[in-house]
Amino acid sequence: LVGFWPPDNLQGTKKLIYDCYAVLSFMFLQGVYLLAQIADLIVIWGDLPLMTATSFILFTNLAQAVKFINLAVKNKMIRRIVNDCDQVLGNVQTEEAKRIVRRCDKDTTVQLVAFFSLTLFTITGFATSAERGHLPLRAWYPYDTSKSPTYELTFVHQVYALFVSAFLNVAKDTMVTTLIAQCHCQLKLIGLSLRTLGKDLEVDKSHLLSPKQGELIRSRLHKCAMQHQRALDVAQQLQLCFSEPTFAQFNVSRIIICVSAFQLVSATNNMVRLVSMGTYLVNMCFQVFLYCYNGNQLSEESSDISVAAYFSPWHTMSPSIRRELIIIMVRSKRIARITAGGFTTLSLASFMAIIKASYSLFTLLKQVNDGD
Amino acid sequence: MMTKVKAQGLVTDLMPNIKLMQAAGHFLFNYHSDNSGMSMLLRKVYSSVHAVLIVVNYVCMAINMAQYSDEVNELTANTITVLFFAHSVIKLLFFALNSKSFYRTLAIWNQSNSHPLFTESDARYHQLALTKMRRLLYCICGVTVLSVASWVTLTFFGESVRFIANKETNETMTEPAPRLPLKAWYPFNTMSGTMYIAAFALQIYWLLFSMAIANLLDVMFCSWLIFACEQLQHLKAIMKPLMELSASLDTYRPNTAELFRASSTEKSEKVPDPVDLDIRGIYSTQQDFGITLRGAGGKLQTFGQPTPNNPNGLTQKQEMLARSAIKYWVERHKHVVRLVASIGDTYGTALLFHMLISTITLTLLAYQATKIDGVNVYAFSTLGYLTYTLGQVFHFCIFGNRLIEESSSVMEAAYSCQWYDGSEEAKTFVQIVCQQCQKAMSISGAKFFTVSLDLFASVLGAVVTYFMVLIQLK
Repeated sequence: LVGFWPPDNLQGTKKLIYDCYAVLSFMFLQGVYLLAQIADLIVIWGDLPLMTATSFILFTNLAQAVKFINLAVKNKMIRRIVNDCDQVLGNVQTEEAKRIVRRCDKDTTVQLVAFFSLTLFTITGFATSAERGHLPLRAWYPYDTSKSPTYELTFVHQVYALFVSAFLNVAKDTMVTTLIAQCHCQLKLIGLSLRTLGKDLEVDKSHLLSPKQGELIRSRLHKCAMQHQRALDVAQQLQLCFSEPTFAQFNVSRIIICVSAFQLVSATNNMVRLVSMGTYLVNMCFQVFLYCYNGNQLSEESSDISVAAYFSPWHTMSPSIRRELIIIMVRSKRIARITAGGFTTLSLASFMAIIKASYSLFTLLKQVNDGD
Repeated sequence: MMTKVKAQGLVTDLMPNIKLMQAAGHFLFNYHSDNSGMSMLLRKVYSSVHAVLIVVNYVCMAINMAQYSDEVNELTANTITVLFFAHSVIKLLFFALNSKSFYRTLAIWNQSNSHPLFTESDARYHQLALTKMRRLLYCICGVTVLSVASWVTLTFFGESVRFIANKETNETMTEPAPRLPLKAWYPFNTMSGTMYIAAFALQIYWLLFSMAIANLLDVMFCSWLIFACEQLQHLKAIMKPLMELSASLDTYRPNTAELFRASSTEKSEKVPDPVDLDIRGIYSTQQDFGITLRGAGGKLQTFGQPTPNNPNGLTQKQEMLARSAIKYWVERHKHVVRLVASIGDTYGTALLFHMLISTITLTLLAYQATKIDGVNVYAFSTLGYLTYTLGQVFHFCIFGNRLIEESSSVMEAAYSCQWYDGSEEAKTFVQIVCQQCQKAMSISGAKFFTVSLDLFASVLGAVVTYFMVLIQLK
């Protein structure tokens, strides 16, 4: 809608016009904002509470800009991942598999709705907490903003930019996290088919499979191995596409969480503002949590493939089929992880580490401020 | 109207624990012998009354905390008490909300497979598990009663006062408060008289029941872990005979008859007449597989001719026995994996809450501990709180650690048997088992942390560090 995701069938000049529209839109929303806030930051350098008031939105916008650039550049690759995932998840046959897909779907929908409503709440809080004659957010403009027409225009611009960029943020984040969740779902389906390798096969009293049954199991196992390879390939591509913006997001989140907590503690005059700062803090934490939670799920599921293989009736299989199963188990010992720029893996442990780092930064900031 | 459910498996083993939990007022409504509508209603009323009383008194304590929050020392002390008993309220609610998954975990071990050659080992380790679980239950019950008794005794020592901050002079004064075990706000005057005795009795009841609620649930969790560990011990113990059985399938072994001998101490099995060998073909009990008693052992090896595929001349029944032994081992191991997964799903969130609250409590306690200035009531109560909280964390960390160690040592047991003499089948069996057991089974607190002695060490280390830093700052 806003020019960031061109529909599939734009060609030639139409595409060019669309790209120009995209750039303009970006400039209008983000660029103006970024420049204004950076300028403000330079002007008030040294005054800690004021600086934190400006920077908490500034950094979010910075991260957004990085993500948007990433999206524009890696467009084709991302599109391919989305289509592939769609195809795989849409082709499930058995009832059990459908149930797994539905449950994963429900999980991601719940996350999206929670994130969305949190953002909505926060943004309305911000927009309505502006005092008379002041803008909701601090920024430096090259003209005087307290006079009548400029004040209204800037106010409208800020609110509009706030709303749209917040929802874009939600959309971008949930796209990444949903893709990770879909990869996790694929791995779950593979686990299911490994567990039910011996489905509908009657094993006779010698507890061994007949050669014909063995061949059937072997073909099923080969199919599982191919699916496993495809799913790991998807995880690898996700890593390639989204590692850098996630890195930017994490670093920025560390700063933002610390700064918002500081703002929360020091700005106590306006009740609505206080509440909306609180929800902003929760929102930022939730954003990081979504990434880490889905990354964690993916890693866990990839190591669960080994357990699923163990739960197949392998004691009835002949040694040569067992060896193929062992190869699958050995591969799944190395978990599929998504890393943020190669530094931290997305997991719940790294989420705790980010929260701890923000908390230490926050206490440091408080000390510096109290000392002044 | 529910039919009588026969208690079996884990439920039988944990019956004393379950009965105690029902007595303490947990919302545990299964596993009664009498399930008529009237008694169900009575039990529900009983549990609800307990729940209401406990929550009401807890809220009174919280009100007291809010009332006297001006003075720092008073506030800290009250916060510690409130957090301390938050465990009980949370565990009560947690169980009430999550009882289905508790029932499911208890029912996982209702049916378990069995194998004639391994019943003796199975029974032995089961008995060991049972003894350990009972001992743990008695120990924790004793500790609970002792704590309540010492708490009540400690109430009668020292001055019964509370600290108030005088706003004008900015110093703390003392004001007389009722001599009760817990500081709480009651709508009636509890300084003396019948109201005082009533409040005292209520508080003793409350102390006992809330501590029992929290501790019994932890004991149930640890009993599950003990059970899983003993099962893993059983699996490790039968690994060696299993390997030899498997090797006998296609490698010549001199004493194959020994392997097929089960110890004959099982009186419950019907024993066919050892002379009448034809009858064995007709029986469809577990004896069907040609188990002999001591004395008729040597006859087995005359039953078939040694062939390249069958170097020990095993009969078809004996081959089935060997193969079904492997199946038994694998199925039993999968059963244990399922049990541990279910335990983790059921109790993980409760552990997360416990650790969160304990961390905050221990931080505050470290701060309180820096203010100890002699052997008095204050010192005893602070140290008491400290030991109790650390003890609770230690309790489940040690059992979680044992599970981790046992489950990863299965791999070592698999390696240490004579796999190099085994068939291709035996070798791939060892390989798959080693792959699976390399990653130890552990209980995680809703995936945030693993329950092990490392966790306890980090908690203890954090408390000590914090305490040292605070001492330095003073």
